[in-house]
Amino acid sequence: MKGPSIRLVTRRQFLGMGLVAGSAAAAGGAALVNLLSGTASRASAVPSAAIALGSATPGPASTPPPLSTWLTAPRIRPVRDLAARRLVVIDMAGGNDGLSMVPPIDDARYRQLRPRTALDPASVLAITPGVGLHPGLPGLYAAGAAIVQGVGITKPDLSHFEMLRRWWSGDVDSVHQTLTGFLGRLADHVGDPTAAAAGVSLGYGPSPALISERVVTLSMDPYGDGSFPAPAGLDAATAWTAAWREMAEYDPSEPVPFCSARNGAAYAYRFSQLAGGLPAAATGYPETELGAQLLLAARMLAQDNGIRIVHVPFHGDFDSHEDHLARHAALMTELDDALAAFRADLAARGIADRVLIATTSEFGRRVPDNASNGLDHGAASFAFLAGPVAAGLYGTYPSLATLDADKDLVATVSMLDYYATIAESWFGVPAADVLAGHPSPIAGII
Amino acid sequence: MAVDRVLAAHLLRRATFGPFPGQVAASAAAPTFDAAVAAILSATPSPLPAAPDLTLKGAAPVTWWLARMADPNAGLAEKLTWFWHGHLTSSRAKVNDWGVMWQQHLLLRTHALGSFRALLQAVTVDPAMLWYLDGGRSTAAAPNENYARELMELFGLGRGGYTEADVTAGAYALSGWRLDRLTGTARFVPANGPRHSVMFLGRQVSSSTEVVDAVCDHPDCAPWIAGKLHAYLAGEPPTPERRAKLATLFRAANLEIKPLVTAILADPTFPTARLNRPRYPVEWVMGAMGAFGLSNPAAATRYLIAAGQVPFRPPSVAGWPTGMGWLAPSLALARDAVAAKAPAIEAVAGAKDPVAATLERCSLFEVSDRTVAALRGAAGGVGNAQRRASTILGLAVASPEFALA
Repeated sequence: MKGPSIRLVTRRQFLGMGLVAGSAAAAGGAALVNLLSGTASRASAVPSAAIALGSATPGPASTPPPLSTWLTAPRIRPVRDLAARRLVVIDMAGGNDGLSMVPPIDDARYRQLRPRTALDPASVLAITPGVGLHPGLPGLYAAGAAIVQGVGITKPDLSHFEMLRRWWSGDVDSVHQTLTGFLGRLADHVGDPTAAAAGVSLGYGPSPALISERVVTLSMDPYGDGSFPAPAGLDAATAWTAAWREMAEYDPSEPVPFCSARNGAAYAYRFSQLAGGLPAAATGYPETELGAQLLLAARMLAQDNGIRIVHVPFHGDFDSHEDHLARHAALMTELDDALAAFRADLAARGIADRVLIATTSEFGRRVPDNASNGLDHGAASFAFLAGPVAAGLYGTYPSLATLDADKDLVATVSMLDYYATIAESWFGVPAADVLAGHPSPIAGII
Repeated sequence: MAVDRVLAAHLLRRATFGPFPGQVAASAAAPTFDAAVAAILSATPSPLPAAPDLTLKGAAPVTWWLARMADPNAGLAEKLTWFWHGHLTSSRAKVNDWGVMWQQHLLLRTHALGSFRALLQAVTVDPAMLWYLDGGRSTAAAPNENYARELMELFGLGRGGYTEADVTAGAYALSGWRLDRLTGTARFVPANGPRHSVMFLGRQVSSSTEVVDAVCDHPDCAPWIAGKLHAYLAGEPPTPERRAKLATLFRAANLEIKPLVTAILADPTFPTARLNRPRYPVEWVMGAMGAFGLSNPAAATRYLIAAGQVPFRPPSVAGWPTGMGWLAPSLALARDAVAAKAPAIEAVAGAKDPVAATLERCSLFEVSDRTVAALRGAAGGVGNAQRRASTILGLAVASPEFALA
C-alpha cells in the first residue's frame, strides 16, 4: 500500500535542551563481596557487614543454614559483542522492601524492630550465614544473581513521586532536573536512530524512564500485539492506511499538541510493522501480567530489530503499609515464577548471554513496622542484576544499628553507581556520558 | 448563531463528556459565550439510573459509570465527579469490595460541585479511602503514615509547605479509625486514637477533623486545588498571577468548588485555550461513541484497558497523569482499534457531502487542511456508500484533531 512517507520529528525538537551536565555529590565507593571469586574490591578494607552481623548475633537456629549453591553454580558468560547486549529493567514501583527481599538472618535487631513483619529465619534461603533471599525466590536462589545491598540515595525523599522521578531520570539529588530518562539516555547511546524503537516500555502510557533525545522509545500494551487495525474490505483498508499515514505527517507549523498527535500516530504505524514480525511466543509463563510482559520481552529481544532496552513496569502491590508479610510474599512469588519462565525462554532462544536483567524500586521501606502489620515509606533498599553476571553480594549490608533520622536504612551504594554498572560494565557506555556526579561501576558483577 | 461553534464545542469538550451530536448547535444558540457557560453551570443533570448490582462479580460499577457518562444530559457534575475520582483516588485493585468503592463514588458525586472542605472531611474517613491508604487499622501507638503523607502531598497542599514532622504528627492525629471490611463501615475507636494534641502545620490538632481543617486552612491549599482544576479545565497550569487570583476567589468562597469552576470557564483566557491538551482516554472514548451513536460500555471498557484509564482503577494514588503523554504511539494504536470499527450511520451515508457531515457529526469545526484532504481522499477511494461512511467516520475519530480536547 502506497502512501506519503511519514516524516518523524526527533524528540530533541520537543525537549529543546539536553542532559544538563554538572557535578553532583556521589556516594563513596561501594564495598564488594564477590562470593564467587573472592576478588578484592576497591573497598576491600571494609569488612562484610553482612557476615559480621551474622557472626556477631547468633540466631535461634541450632544449625547454621547451608551456604548457597551460588558458590559453585556455573555462570553465564556475557556475549563479547557489546552491540548484541540487551537490557531488561523490572521496575517495582511502590517501594520494594529490601529487608524482606534480602533479609538479615541472624540480626536480632531485625526481629526487634519488626515484631510483626520479620520473616521466619528458618524459612529464608541462606546465601551466607547472615544474609539470605526471601523464601518466595527459590528460582532466583538456584540461578544466582548479583545482589546490590543498600542501594539508594544520599539524601532521600519519602515521596513516591519525587523518588520515582529521581530513579527514572537518574537524577540523584534532584538538582539537575533532566528532561530525559536514564534508560532513554542509555538508548540514545546504544540505539539506532533509524530503528522503529530502541527502547520499549511494556506498560500503559508513556514511561518517563525512557524519554530519549535521539532514538525512538515507546510504550506498548503488554497484552496487545502492536498490530495496526484497519476496517474490513480491501478498498476501505487501502483508503484507511493512506489517510492515516497522511494524517500522521508531521507539520512543524502546527502547535505542539498537533505535532505530538501526528508523531504518536507515525511512530505507532512504524512500530506496528516491527511488531507484526516478532517471533512466536514461548509457552510456560505464569498467567500474570509480569509473565505476559516478560513473554513479550523475550520475543522482542530474540531478533535484531533495533530494540536494546525493555522496561517492564511491575504493576505490583509493593506499597505495603498494611499486611506486609503476605502481600510482599505474593509479589516475590510472582516475580520468581515469571523470571524462571523468562530465563528458560532466553536459554531456549540462545540469547541468555545477551540479556541483562536489572531491578529498580524508588525506595525500600521503614525499618520499624507499624500497627497495621505494615511498613511505611523508607529509604535505601536492595536491587539485583541477573543473567550473565557473577552471582554474589555486592556493597555493604546496610546497618540496622545506625538508621537515619526517619528510622530508615542509610544507603551504602549510590543509585548512580548501580546505574553506572549497567551503562559501563554491560553496555560499554562511559558512565559520565549518561550520569552526572562521576559514578563508578560496581566492580566484578559483569 | 450567537456563539461560534468552535467555542461552543471547546466548552462542551472541557466542561462535559460531550459534545454529543446536536449539542454544539444548541450551545451555540446562546446569546453570548458567558451565557453558554452559565447554561452549563445551571443545567440540571438527568436523574441517575438505578445503582449497579454490587453483588455481581466483574465490574458492574464501571459499565454503570460509562453508561452514565454517555448520557448527553449528565453534564458538568459528571465531569467533576470524574475529576475528583482522579484527585482523591481509591482503586478497586486494592480495595477488594465494590460496596465501599460505590459508597465513595456517591460521596464524590455528592460533593463534586460543593464544598471542598466537606469533600475532604468526608473522604478522609470514607471506608474505601481508609482501606486504600491504610487508615483503617492505624493506631496512635504505631500510626500508619500513608494517608497523612498523601493528604498533604497530593490531595490538599502539594509539596513544599510541610515537613516530615507534619507527616508523623498528622498520622498520629488521624489514627483511631477502624475499618470493618465485612460490613464496609468505619468507626472511630477512642482507645486507639490520639491521647494528646500534636503540632501539625503550625497548630495543635487531636482529631482527623482538625487535621483536615488545618490542611484546608493552610495557605497552599486553595492555590493547589485551583491549579489542579485549572490544568484540567483550561488544559494548562495557570500563570502564578492567575493561580493567586483563583486562590483568593476560592478562599473567599469558603472553598466552594462551583464558584472556582465558574471563574475558570468564564475567564477571557479560556476560549483561546483550545486543543492544548489531549482528550484523556475516558473523554476520547465518550466522544467516539457519541459520534458513532452508540452507548457501548463493554467496547469502551476494552479500549480503556488498553489505554490505561479504567474507572475505579487509577494507576497510583496520584491518579492518572496529565499532559501530552496520552498522545504516545501505544495510545494511537488503541484509538485506531476503536476507530476502525466505526459504524455506517445514515447522517453520513445519506449526506450530499459525507466528509462535511462526518466532521459535523464529530463536532470538529477547526480542522487542518491535511486532515480534510485525507478524509476526502479516503471518501474517493471507497465505492460503496455504507463502507465509505464508516471509513471516513472512523478516520475522523482517528484524526489528530479528535485526539485533542
